[in-house]
Amino acid sequence: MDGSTRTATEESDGRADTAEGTEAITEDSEAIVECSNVTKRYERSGGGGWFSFGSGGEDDRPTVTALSDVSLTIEPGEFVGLSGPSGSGKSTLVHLLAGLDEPTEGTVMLAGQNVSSLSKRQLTRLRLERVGIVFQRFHLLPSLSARANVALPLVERGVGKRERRERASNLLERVGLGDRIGHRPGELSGGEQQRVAVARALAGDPLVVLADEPTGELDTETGAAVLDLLGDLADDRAVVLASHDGRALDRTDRVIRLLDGQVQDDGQVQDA
Amino acid sequence: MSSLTRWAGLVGVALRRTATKATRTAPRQTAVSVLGVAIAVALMLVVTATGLGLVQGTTVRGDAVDYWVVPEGGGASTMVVSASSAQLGDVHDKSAALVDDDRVEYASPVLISVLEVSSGGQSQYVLGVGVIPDQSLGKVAGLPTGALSPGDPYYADGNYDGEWTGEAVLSERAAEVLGVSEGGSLTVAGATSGDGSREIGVTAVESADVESGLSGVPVMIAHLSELQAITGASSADSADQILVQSNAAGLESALEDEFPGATAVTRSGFTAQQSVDSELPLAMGLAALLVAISVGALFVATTQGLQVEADSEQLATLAAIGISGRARATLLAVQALALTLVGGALGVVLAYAATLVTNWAAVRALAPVPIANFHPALVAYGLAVAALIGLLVAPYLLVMERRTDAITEVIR
Repeated sequence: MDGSTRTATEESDGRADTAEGTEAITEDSEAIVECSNVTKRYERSGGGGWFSFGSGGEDDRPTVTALSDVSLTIEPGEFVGLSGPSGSGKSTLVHLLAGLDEPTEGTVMLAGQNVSSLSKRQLTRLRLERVGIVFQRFHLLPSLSARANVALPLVERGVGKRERRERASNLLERVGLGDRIGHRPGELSGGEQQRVAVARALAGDPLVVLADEPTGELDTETGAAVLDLLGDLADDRAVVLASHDGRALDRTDRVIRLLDGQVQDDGQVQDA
Repeated sequence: MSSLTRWAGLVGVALRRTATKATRTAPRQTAVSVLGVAIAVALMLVVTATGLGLVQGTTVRGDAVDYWVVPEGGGASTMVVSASSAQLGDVHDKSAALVDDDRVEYASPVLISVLEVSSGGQSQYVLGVGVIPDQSLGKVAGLPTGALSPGDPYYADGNYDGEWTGEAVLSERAAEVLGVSEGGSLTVAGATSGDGSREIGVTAVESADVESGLSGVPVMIAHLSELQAITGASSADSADQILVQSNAAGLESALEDEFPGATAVTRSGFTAQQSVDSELPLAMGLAALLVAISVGALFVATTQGLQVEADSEQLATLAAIGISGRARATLLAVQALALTLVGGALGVVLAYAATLVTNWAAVRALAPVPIANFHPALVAYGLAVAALIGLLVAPYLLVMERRTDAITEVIR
């Protein structure tokens, strides 16, 4: 790498790809997520923003280190909290775990695959089949109904219309929105939109659900309901919750505390 | 099956997004895109329809005609209204000589002239067509001639002093503008004989074939010699063309021998000559096509490019949840195609309306001939061009989408 920036768009990156993009995805590791000595640096751009610095990057230009030598393992059934103040690297870590970005140094193994070795197409496929993501700002498509939003990943997977509708409706029932399936995001409250986003994250039956500040834009009561929902999901998959809200983190089984991009503490939450 | 289901699902999502954008989330931008394509396609179709009108709209043809004899150098366009162009002379005798040829089943000179005709104080210009009627002649200028007495009685003895039949077949349009019906009478003004005006009786009112291009034009068909007498063409026994019906091939040279300085065109040759004569309309059509594609594509690329920019967060979201680049490209391409096709359909409607208005205005202000011919194939043409615009714009939108910053930069 010549120091040029690398992003998580799907441009050709020269790495081996397969026609289907999924052949390389296997589950040969018990851990769903495994980070080893992960460092992530961003290069300061001329316009004052930041460029992602992918693996192999080396340059004299000014950089900021978002994560430094982070190692962790997450296994099925764990409800893991990522805590830390703003700028501590929580969101960066979530993006790395989701394969939305790649580490500058170290390896991120997701569902047994080293994300740095996968092409962008394979990474996209990996997210479709193994990862569910819940964003702080919901990020639902405003032109589609709640059910259509939830069914989007199923469309990409080639699931038939009838089955898509049925599965999406069931997921919306599960998150308590069985009576809102035809509503568009603009017709739903913030809490309802976030629950639709949770249902969408579950549509592909992922191994891990990554939630980045999912209650950041919700009131306390609605946020608690969403957290309850995420807690329930951890029964049969891993759930990673990035939050700076102590009450939210209290609901997790394990909290990894980050500060200035480094893991300060990784331990079980003490029962009250 | 799964792949087909996937594509069908993506197309469905794209169409739903397009519909919602058009009605709720981005109605103005969508309307601008659709209107841009609609106007570009409409202008192109109007120009093309006008070109078609120039080529074939006013050509006087008979449905049983195999050869046309026209003054040399005139080409097929001579068959169009040609009052001031070269004419053929001594046409009665020469067409009679043609009929004597065993290879020729029938031949009739055709004189075409714009006439000022009045009825009940109402004066209108109509396209006068003079022929020598016969059962074999069939339709001329889209109108049947069977209601006229066969032959040319006023010229029966070789002079213009025979029985004046005063018969005329009017097109429905002519009857409408003159306010007459079958059995009514008309006065032709400016006649060079008969004290400056001639009385004509309406023998029949007929509907002109649409394909003649004259269905919207007031047309009056009369006996050749009577029209010659009215217009002054009797002095040289002149006409604009000779229609010849024959099953024999290779008659061109014989016909040209009979009419020195004239060109004989076969039915197939007519098409070829017509295409030569249609160079200008063809150039007009091509220019209109290029302009429409350029303007339409630039319009859609600009508006939809901005829309892709505005949608970057949504597109990044799709990537984040595992929707592949190919699927996102499909969404954008289908959306672009849907918009341009709707614009194309609207453009076709606008063009049809504009053609009607253009012809209406032309008939009243310029000449009793249509200047545009909206052929049904123009509907498919307009939609195809609209689809082409969509297909041309799609790659640009995909490039715009690829330029979307890193997902992590967009989604916070």
